[in-house]
Amino acid sequence: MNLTCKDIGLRLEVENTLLEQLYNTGMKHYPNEFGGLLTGHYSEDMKTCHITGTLLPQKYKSSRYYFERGREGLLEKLEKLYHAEPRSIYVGEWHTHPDGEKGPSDTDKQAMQTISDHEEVTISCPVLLILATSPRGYTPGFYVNFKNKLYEYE
Amino acid sequence: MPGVTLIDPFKDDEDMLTGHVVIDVHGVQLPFLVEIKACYPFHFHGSDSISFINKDLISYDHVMENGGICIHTLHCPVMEQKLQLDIDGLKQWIGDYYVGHVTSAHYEHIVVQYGQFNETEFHYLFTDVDYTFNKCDFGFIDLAFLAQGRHSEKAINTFLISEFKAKGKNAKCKWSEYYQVSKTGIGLYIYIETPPVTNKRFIVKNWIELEAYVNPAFMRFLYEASKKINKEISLPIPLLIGYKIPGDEIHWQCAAINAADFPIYGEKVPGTKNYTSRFCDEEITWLQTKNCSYRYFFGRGTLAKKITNGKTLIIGIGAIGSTLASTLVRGGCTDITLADYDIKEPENVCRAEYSFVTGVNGKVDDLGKALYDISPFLWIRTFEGFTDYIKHYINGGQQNKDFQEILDQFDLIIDCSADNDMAFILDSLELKTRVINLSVTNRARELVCVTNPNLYKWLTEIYALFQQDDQDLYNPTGCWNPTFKATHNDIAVMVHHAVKQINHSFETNKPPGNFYLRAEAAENINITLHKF
Amino acid sequence: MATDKVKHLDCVLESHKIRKEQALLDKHTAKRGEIKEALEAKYTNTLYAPFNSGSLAKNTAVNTKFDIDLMAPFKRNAFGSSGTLEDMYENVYKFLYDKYHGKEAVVRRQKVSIGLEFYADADGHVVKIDVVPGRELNQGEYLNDKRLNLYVYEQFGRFEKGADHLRSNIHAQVKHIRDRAEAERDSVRKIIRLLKVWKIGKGSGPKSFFLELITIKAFDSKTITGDIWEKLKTVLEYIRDNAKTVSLPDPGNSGNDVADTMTDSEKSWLSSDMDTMLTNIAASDDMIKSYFRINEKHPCPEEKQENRYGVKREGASNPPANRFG
Repeated sequence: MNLTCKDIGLRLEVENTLLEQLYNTGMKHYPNEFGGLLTGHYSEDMKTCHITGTLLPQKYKSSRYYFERGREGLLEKLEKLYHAEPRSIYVGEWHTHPDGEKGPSDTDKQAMQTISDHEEVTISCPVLLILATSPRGYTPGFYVNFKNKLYEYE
Repeated sequence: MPGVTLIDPFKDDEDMLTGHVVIDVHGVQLPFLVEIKACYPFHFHGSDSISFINKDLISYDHVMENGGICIHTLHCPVMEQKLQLDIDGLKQWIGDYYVGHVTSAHYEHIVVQYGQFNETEFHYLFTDVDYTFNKCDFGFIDLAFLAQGRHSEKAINTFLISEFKAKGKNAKCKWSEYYQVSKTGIGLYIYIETPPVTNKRFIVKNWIELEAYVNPAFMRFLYEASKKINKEISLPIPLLIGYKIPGDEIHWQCAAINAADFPIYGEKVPGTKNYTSRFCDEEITWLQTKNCSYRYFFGRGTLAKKITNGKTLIIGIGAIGSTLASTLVRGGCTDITLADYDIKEPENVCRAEYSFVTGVNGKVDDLGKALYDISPFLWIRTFEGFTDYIKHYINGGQQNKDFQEILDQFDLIIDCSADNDMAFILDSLELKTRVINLSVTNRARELVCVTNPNLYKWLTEIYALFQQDDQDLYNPTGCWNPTFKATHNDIAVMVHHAVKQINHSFETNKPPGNFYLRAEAAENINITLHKF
Repeated sequence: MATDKVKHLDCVLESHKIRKEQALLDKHTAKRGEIKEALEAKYTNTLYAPFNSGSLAKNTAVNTKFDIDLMAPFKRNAFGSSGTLEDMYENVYKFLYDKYHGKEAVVRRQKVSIGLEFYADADGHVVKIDVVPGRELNQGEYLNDKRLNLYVYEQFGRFEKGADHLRSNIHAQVKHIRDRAEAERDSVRKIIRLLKVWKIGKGSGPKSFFLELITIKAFDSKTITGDIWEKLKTVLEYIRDNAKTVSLPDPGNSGNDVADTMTDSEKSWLSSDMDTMLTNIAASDDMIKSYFRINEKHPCPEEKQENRYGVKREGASNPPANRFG
């Protein structure tokens, strides 16, 4: 699907099959939260972010109301993707809100700001995907941290 | 042939074979005189060239006054087969109407042998009136001379009945004003309710026979009329005789009266000094009449009622607009307003509905006249300054509301002006009435039809789909205004196709929508419709 | 350049948002209040509380054509014990006609309602409100079952003129649409609003209620996913394939089939309109702009040209561990 963040004019593209895959992964941990990294690439004009895959954390903690993603083992995989042909890079984060809303919590907003500011992160506008999940299906919410603020794509 | 017995052998009788036969249908035997024209088995002037005649049968249905049986058989160029078909047809008639006494549902007019007056044919056309005739209503009528024609070396005069002078009220016939202008003759009428016939279907032949159908008041009227009417009139004075026919209709027959010699005489009432008028023993000359009312005039085909019943405004009457206008008028439209500022010049004639004969003329007047010539039920208004006026005064304020009000009085507006300004203005007025815009591309390769709302936008969006050929235009010598190349045929075929599509929409109550037609010349010419 | 369909549809929706015509909306609300009071004053003891039932109430309105309906629920004996639905309809018509017609509005009889179109004010704003008179089925029952009989003034679909079998719980109808429109904000509501934009742009089309219900039915019958264009396309395909046969039970009265408000030929045109539209858009993305027009009064702001996804430097990221809520 194609989405646009109207307020700032940035676009996002993601395959529905990937969303299905993330939902299925998330449901394995239901009713607890779960998540991981989003990988992909930017368009030439740097106005569109294409999300193409996910990397799942080896270490994590989760409950019904929070999800803590570890970083172990992820750098190696990201470096491999960076040198692959075609290249993929880290573009953001995803996690589920089981039986919840697709909107970001304050913790989520803070986490995205931390990622933006982190010196080992080479991009400045990470994307956040929240999947509001239930056994009946899911509703995705897409956000981008741009200039210290989280914007929603529509 | 089975069932056919020859009584008198056929003999050659001046380009015709005649003989007598007896036809046997299931034991019923009827004799017939058979006449076969030289052109048999071909038709003669659309009728069969063989006749089966038996004068004793005239009281039966489908028998002519001379006793000829009406059989209409199929075309067949092979003599033997055609003869078999005709005999079968005759047997069918005997079975149905002589033996079976079938009455046909279809009403046929009474049989009248029409004559001439001073070796000239006269035709009187009548139409509906807003008046209910009562039995024995009579009075004068006004006539309007329409035209003189010729056929088989005889002159034919056609008159319209324009008005019945009824008691206390003049009943104007519903011709349009254009055909009401001049009174060029006078006549008489009487409504007798039942047809004046003998043998059910054959009109009376002698004035004496008419007396049973009229009353003394009418006879007095006739006498007074004979005194009043100028005896020098060389034209016949038509006496229209009206009677009821199925479908709550009145039909009129016309008996010719010689102005100088009315077919009446005075007879003294015994024991008084008074005279009463009686008809003379004199043969009646019946002249031809025709019910030419809207439903017969357009009986062979009309466009959808939603188009014909409304008021239509046509803006721009060049090749597209004039072809459209003429199609609408022939399709039964009666209220058309023409708007065009332009003049018609000789070079317009080759692809529009104009004629050379009227010379250089304002388009609205020239086309208006041509359209009036087509239909006697048409009311035309013309508006030469329409586009100038609307472009000058449109301002977005009160003036727009006035334009809206004026234009919404039409039931259909068709803009054929090929003027994008006009399309824009009409669209921006957001009219409630239906607006249709018709235009063509060069060589009439495409015809575009768009309608409101968003008419102007659709117009520009559809044209953006075409690769327009603006180079190959017609540039007349010394003219600064090049025009499309296209023949009357190129344009008319597209306009007619579009009208058919629009008419279909109206007939099925569907909005006409937006579409274009494309005529593609490959091995054959294909015209395709692309809908939006 | 091919049109970005998603971007275009987003802009269509944005430009048709009700809040962009707040002034006009306020005038509608004020007028509706005035009419409501007038009705209550006139029919003091015979009228239950009038309520809103149009698209505003259902959250599916667009700003180019306000769809303001005011339901006037009458008591069973309001027009005498033998009073007919026609008596009710004509009585309300006469009251509104005498009060408004020729003075500040044009009042006309419509299918089941009485239409009031007020003259344009100084801003050129035209307020249009439809009053729908309805009568409870049995004396005193309305407060419990909310069901009302409407009078059919003009033949439409399969409903004959003078028919009185439109027994509906209008509250339930409104709630049904609003709930679905709310629950699936990004889907049902947007698609319904787009279909309304399509219908207004065309100048004719099915009743809004039909479009609302068939959209919901499409969402119930098919998996509708993807971006806004993909969803719209799926619904258009559903209408194309099912318009002729679909049954749309009235949420206010399961005995009524809202599909009956359209004739067979109208259904078949709807199906062919969908087919034509899908074919034309498939042939050229640009065509979407003709079928779903942006409200030019409220154009979408030009895209923020300067904004881009930022990259601080080359190389792979090593995102920190993080806690999400």
